[in-house]
Amino acid sequence: METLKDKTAIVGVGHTEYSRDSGRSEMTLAAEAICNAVADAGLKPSDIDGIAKYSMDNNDHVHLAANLGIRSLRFFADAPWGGGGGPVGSVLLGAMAVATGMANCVVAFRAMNERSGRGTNRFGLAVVRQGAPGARGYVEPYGLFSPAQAVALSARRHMHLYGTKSEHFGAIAVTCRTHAQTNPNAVMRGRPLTIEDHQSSRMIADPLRLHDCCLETDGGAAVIITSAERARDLRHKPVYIMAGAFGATDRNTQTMVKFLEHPQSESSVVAQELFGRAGVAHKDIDVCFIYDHFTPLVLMAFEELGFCKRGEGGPFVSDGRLLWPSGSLPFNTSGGNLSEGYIHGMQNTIEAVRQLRGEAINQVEDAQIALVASGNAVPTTAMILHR
Amino acid sequence: MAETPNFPSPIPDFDAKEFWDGCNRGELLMQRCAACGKFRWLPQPMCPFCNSLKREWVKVSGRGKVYSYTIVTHPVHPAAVSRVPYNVAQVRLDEDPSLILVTNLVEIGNEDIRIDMPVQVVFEEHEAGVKLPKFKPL
Repeated sequence: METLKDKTAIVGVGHTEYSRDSGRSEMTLAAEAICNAVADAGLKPSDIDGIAKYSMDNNDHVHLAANLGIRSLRFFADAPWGGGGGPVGSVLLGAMAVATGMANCVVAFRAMNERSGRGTNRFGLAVVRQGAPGARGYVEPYGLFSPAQAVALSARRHMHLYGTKSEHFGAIAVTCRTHAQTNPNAVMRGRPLTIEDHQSSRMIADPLRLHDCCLETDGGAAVIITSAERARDLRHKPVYIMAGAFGATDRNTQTMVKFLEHPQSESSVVAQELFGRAGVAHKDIDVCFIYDHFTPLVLMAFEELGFCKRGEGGPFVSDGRLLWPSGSLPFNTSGGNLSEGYIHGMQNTIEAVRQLRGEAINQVEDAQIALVASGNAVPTTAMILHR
Repeated sequence: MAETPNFPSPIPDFDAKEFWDGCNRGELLMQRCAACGKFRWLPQPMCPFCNSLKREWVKVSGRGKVYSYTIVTHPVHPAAVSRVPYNVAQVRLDEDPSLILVTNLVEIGNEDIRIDMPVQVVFEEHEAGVKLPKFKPL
């Protein structure tokens, strides 16, 4: 069977500044981030002939093509499920389009004013409406609105079943914040965090504390995908897409609130295929990027992706292995959604590319292979990259 | 006088009307496949085990156990401001382990909530004509 393996590469990455209020439109952010990524690749915006975006992104393919001067747009696609489909799924859609000859050069991007609310409602606030439709009708009447509140239910259950502690969640927050301290793009640079700070931070939805929740940010981030052959003639050493996988289960209707009920999860479905397709094992991963919306779901992502068994995530994330430079599995080395900025995970994809090019700020020595996983506990995607 | 804001009421969809009608009558109805007899939640038209579209609504005991819970302290909705701290819980019904409902626990202090404590359904009026299943300690 034909596979995607090494047929395509990421050749350009770009972003805007990450802020609490960009002061400009979401289309401006998208266009800026994409132009930065194109320039990084040594290409022109009009070289793009495919656009893969998050389905939640407000910027329309055609309006974006009009801004970028793309006269012949040959591929357009949406990756659904927000942080689950977005940061990797959009890249994989682009890779599949290139590998099948549907397009030559695809941009995958995310641009939003999620913090300032200029165009996008803050995810951490309820949408105020008269009634709660469909599946929302089983939760909103009880006062459950935000992802943090839903995740709190699964986090409590994990604590109950496996003895997981708030300090285990805190270890993830501290790791990301520590990595952000050297990153000039990071929103949380200059604001270090200790485990004691985490433990004394205010409760949002018990057991989730403030520092268990990701940032909310304005900004744009984009990556350019083209064929491996063409990639070798461009500015940077190509970062090859070794393998990718999509995963969902048949019980997604309330997945964030009853995550642990099923032997299969979205991330475990992904893991079943991903490593085999890439031809690598967990121990081969030099640096990993796990979508960090909420610390308990990061902990559980390591379990579901097979880095440890379900229930062992607490000790796994707390023994120092995730911390650069001393740890054996450095994670979210630019600070992630928790501390760099929340561009819906696309900044993690950019940082993975920088690591494999050898130009990251917190550079993992001789990084050859990176894993990038989108959001856990929603229909999700992941990929393995190598240089 | 300004009305106190309330959490939104459910808008029953076509496949779940019986559930909400049952609540408004004070009966907790769960959907069960009329072909293979397996329960399912949330309500949906097709049985995921045998793909039958035949379904029935079964009145259950309303007894269950607390599966998990959170105490919300950070309000994200206007109606939450005057209500925090409030609990949101999940209750697993005795009839089938797959039946896990999101709800509120009533007649109990937040600090006394424990996983696995037995509870019983009660129906609380949410707004005129709309009742919600909530649970109290047994």
